[in-house]
Amino acid sequence: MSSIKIYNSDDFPTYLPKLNALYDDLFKDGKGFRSKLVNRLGAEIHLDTRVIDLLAQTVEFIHNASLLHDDLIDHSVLRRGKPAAWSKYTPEYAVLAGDYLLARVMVNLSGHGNVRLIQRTAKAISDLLEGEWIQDSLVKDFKITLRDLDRVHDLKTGSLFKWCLSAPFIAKERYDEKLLGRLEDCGTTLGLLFQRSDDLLDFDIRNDEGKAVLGDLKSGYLNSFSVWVLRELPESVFQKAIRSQSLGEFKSVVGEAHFGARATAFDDENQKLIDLYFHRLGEVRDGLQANELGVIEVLKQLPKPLYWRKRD
Amino acid sequence: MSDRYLTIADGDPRLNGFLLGETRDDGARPLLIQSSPDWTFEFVHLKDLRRPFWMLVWIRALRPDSLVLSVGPILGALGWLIARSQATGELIELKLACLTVIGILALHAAVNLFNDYHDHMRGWDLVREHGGARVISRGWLRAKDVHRAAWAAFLIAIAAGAPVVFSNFSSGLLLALFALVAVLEFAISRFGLKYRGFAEVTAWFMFGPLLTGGFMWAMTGQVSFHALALGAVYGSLALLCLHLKNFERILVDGRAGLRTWPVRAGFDASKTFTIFCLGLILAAQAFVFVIVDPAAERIVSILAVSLGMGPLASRVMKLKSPLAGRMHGLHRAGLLLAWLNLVALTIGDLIRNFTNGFFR
Repeated sequence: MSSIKIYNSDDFPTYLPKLNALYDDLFKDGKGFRSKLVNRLGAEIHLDTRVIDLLAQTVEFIHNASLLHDDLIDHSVLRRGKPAAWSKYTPEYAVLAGDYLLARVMVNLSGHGNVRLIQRTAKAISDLLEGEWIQDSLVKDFKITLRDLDRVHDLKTGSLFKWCLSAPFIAKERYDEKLLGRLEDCGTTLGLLFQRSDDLLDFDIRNDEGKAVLGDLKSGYLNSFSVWVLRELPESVFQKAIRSQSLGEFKSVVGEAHFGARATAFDDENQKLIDLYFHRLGEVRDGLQANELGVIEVLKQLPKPLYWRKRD
Repeated sequence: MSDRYLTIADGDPRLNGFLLGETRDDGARPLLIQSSPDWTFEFVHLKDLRRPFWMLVWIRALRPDSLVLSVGPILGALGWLIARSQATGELIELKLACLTVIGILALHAAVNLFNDYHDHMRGWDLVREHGGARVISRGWLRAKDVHRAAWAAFLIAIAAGAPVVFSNFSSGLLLALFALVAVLEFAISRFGLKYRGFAEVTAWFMFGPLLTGGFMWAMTGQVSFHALALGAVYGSLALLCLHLKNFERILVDGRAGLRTWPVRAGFDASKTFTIFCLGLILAAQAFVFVIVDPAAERIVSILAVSLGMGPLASRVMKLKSPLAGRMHGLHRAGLLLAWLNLVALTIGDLIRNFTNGFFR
């Protein structure tokens, strides 16, 4: 996927050159997955292109604001292979730049005037922040369960996917609560799939992007796959595994065979989630009008890149 | 598309059958995974359910660890009444006492089973959630079987309780009222006290002074201050357990907009309230076993419970997040404390009554 530029030179004040430079760095090389999704869904339900652009910009602004804050919270020095904003421009600027993006979202949306859309967007932001907050409080908590991680991920990751699926309909003033609920259910599942796949990258599984390996575990955070691998192992093995400093060490502690078997079982478990997602698409289809059915084709394609990390 | 899942709307004629646990033609059992806006079931074949041995499943359904909250006050009051009868010469009808214990146990089991059944039928007990015995939500038992078992336990409770009611009508009526309120509130949330923040106070009263006082009334035709004070010990334990149960769910309830006491008070205040409950238990124990009825054998329970409180208090105060792994099992830890109290107190009573010559 090519990188996207979601804003114009007049979106941010020209008299704040450092802010503009920070955003140029931040948005460059972003895949823009969420904005592309909004674009495609908006087109399928025949939304005005200016509204589609507004929605696409909104989701990228929120997502990138969360990245600015996230990198600082996690002390991640790299983002998309480049120095993270907080390390290049100072933590204070990173926080302010993130806040500024969220404020721009509200300015832009209130200019559009759809109160329901503003309300839904504000909820997405608050859920996302709540998820970030809770996730940070779980560092060094090695008793966390997969179900609880799912709750965090539903807030942190799922909130924007839910927004991406429902916002185009809200922007079109299609306030069919049942349809919106079903779309958000799909968004929840997509968020979980994406997060679980992202957690696999930490163990170098389908890691075509070359993300840093074992970063979560080394910073004291059990992600969904580590919980999945480590549960039901003897306490002594568990304690040794969570102190691993390399993937090789981790695998040798838990056993190569056990690691492989759990990876396969994890995929099987998530295939069930994908099945549930397709089932839910059937429910969404029932709520769509005849000229909106293209939405289903767009949504059908998502599990492949999101979980299996396969691109057409 | 996979036939693993099925979504049906309210009013669909198949809904009730699936909720009750009727299997599909191919033998797959429906597990409820979503109840709003429509009902979504996941169909799983029995061989894939990983069910424990059937007897263990039924034991789990009865939630035996929670029974301490109702049987504890009865046994505690009974032990004291026996000791008192040695001094005063009054007669304790042990047959009636045994029937009361059986009746209370059966009633509590019925409440647990009705609770699981109704939560499931209302769509509150989903397969990926926690709380309750989860034997229906995981497909280990059919809802209709749990419902039948609940009625059976309830009938046993009535059968065992009837002689108690007829032996002393007023006190029996009080215990019957206890049974009615317990079933309506704790089994089917009829009054919704939990969501008004009053369930804790109700639990303190019902599983405390009402039960010990009511039992004494049924056994002797009178209620003493001691029995009510003893109830404060058990009521405080019930208060702690219910609080910990709601505290474990603070995030889920809070996000669902349910106004339980921990949600109203907040995370840190709930931690403090746990310590308050522990203090209340100790204070009640000290009041009853040191001041009201000093008995060396019973003071042992203060020591035992104090020892059990330390780890629980430390665990609660170290909690940093509503989703912390250590949040899991808080309720169980509270019940463990109640069991510790019951065992220590029963041993103390046995020693006291043995040395008094009751068993000779």
